Amino acid sequence: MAISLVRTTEPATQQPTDEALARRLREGDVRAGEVLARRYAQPLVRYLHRLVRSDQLAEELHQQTWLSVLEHLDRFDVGGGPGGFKAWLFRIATNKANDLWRSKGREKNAKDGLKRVTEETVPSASEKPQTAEQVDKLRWAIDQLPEPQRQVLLLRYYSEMKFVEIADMLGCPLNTALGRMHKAMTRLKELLEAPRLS
Amino acid sequence: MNEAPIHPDHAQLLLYLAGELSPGERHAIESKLAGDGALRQELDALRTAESAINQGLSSLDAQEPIDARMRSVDRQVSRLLSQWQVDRLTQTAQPATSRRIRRVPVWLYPLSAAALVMVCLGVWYLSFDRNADGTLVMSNDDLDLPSSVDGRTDARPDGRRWDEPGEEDLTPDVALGSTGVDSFGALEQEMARYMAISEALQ
Repeated sequence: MAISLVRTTEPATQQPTDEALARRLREGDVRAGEVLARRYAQPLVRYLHRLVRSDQLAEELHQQTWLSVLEHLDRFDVGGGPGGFKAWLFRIATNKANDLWRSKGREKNAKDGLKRVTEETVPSASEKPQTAEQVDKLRWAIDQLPEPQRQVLLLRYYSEMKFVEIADMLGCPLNTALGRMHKAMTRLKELLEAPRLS
Repeated sequence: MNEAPIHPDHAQLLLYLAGELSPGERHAIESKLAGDGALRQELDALRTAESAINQGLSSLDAQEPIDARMRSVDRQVSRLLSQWQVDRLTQTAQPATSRRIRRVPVWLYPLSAAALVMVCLGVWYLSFDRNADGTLVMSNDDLDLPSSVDGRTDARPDGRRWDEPGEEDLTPDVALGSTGVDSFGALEQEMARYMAISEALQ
């Protein structure tokens, strides 16, 4: 039988855990909520930005994510062990991004549109340093990935969650999450090695 | 969406690279790698790809500073939290008020007082004995009449008997009527008696 140890006291030198902050927030401590929000604001906004490819939409989704967190805070299991809040936060954010895709019906034709836009806007190697071109190429290559593969890849990078946590968060078997990651890496490698169409 | 399953060895390689294998699983995959060149090549390819992706995303983030945007994000979340707290406090305050209103409605106070007065009046009114025609039953004991000088209880001070009508009794009282006179007289007598008792007690 697995025994989960829940820390009840926090050493003064250590930062409070997400779960401790979530518990305090649930009791009405807004400052704890601000600390928690600040802790994940940057990776979460970056993650959402890579998913939706828009600063404004990423900010909007971040706000919606926190609105949802506050609405459903009573349902969050604060004793669920470390990493629980982060997984919950990123799951809500991912669902918000999925909702956006669905509501706008963009999933099918976004690829073609973005492909055209990025191919037209990315300058040639002679106009930019090599490294900048490589970065632009990576951005373009990530955008070419199917949504499920992109989600796993970006979650892994921005949330730093384990694969088993990502699978749990996405509600799929571990092998499915690993399969998506493997395909994403293989595809990116191919795209980055292949010469760009111009 | 049907997704092609990942090769078990590739899944193990990804977990190996991520450092998410148990010691036993790690030992098993390392043994396999030692004897399988193709698997070693796959591991190298995955390691190179992972490194390129991590470096690329890091450079991409560096190229797109979001410090200014983070200040706006901070403000948005702070506003959300403040609003959430206000809503929360309002929601917790409202049920207490409604509980208080449910327990003692304001309109119940005057209604209760009016009902109490009505009941007291009714009880007081019904406490008198009545004849068949509704007039009050009067007796000498109730009236507490004074004794006459000669000790006869049926005589008035002027010598007439108490049940003998006098001049004033024969004069019709237009305002009150005969039944009214009886009732009013009895009430006067009763009040006089209560006042005498009250004075005696004081």
